[in-house]
Amino acid sequence: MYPNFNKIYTILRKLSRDNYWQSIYCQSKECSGIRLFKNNSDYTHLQLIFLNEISKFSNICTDVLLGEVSELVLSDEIYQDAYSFYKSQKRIKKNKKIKRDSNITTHQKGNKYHKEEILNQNQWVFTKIKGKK
Amino acid sequence: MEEEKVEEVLTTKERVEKVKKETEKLINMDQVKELIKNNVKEFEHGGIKYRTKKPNFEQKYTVNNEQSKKYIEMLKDTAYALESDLIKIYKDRGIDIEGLDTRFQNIQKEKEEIDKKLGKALEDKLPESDCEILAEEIKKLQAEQQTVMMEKSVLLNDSLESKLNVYSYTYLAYLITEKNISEDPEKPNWIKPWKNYDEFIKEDESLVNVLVWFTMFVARDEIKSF
Repeated sequence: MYPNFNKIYTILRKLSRDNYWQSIYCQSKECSGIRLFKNNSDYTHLQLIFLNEISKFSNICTDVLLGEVSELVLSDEIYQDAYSFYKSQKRIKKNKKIKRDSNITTHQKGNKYHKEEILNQNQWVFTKIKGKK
Repeated sequence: MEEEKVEEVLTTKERVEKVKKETEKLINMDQVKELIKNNVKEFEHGGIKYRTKKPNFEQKYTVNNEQSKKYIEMLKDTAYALESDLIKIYKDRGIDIEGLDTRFQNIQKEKEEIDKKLGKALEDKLPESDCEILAEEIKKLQAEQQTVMMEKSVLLNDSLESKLNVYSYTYLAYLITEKNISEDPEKPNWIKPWKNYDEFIKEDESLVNVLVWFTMFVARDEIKSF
């Protein structure tokens, strides 16, 4: 019988929100001697999911501190998931818009790609005035 | 015929509930804490210390070869049914597995839309009561999604692909398990406990089950799944 990974993910998420793991995570970013796991590399699938969850919750806490989101987000995992998803979608939308509005256009010419910058600002042209040395 | 269909669906639902309850009993917070501490899982069985470690390249390569060999062997045997065959058989009996996939995706889309609304509500710092309504809707959709997923997995549990996955993890358990033969706890001596796979599967069933269970934890997504 396969393990119920949904139940495991739920427990992992609960653990990742724990003060103990959150403080170790924050400290490990600043001090190289502090580690989250016994292994330094070659992480298992569960460890990677756990790291992702810790980082996600840490980012939400930062947003709460900055006043970008209601404190209510911390009270329920459904709020945290929804907020993270909303934020990621917002970022994707923003990136798409930036790409669209970008002044840099790329066009293909034969086999070579050329990047051409369209300058919106005035372009200064320096010419030699006749009679002046 | 109509009555037969209803009975079949109910049986599946009962099986789904049974599997849900059984697996939930086996997992607890302490066990998960232990699993994330390291990429090695040590445990004792019958007074002997065993360990399972995340597979290395060679072990993954070996298990993938074994999996391919077994796949061809199973394909030649008419006793095994492919997922696609089972889907056709179920369809004739009035159970639409492809419909379950569509239902799952539709629920996902619906859930994502509500997620966005809830995220915006939290950003705009709307009252708790507004957020609670949206959260309740998400909870309902999540439960529905889980039931659909479980239903599909129970229905396809007897497929060739499913049996092959179990075989692969069992083979991997044989490859990555070691036992300690040292009596000095300071200086463990880890060795391979079995000469070959046949010897491993003749081992005490409860030990094999535990080993396969832990292998699925430490080696999840490490081998290709069919």
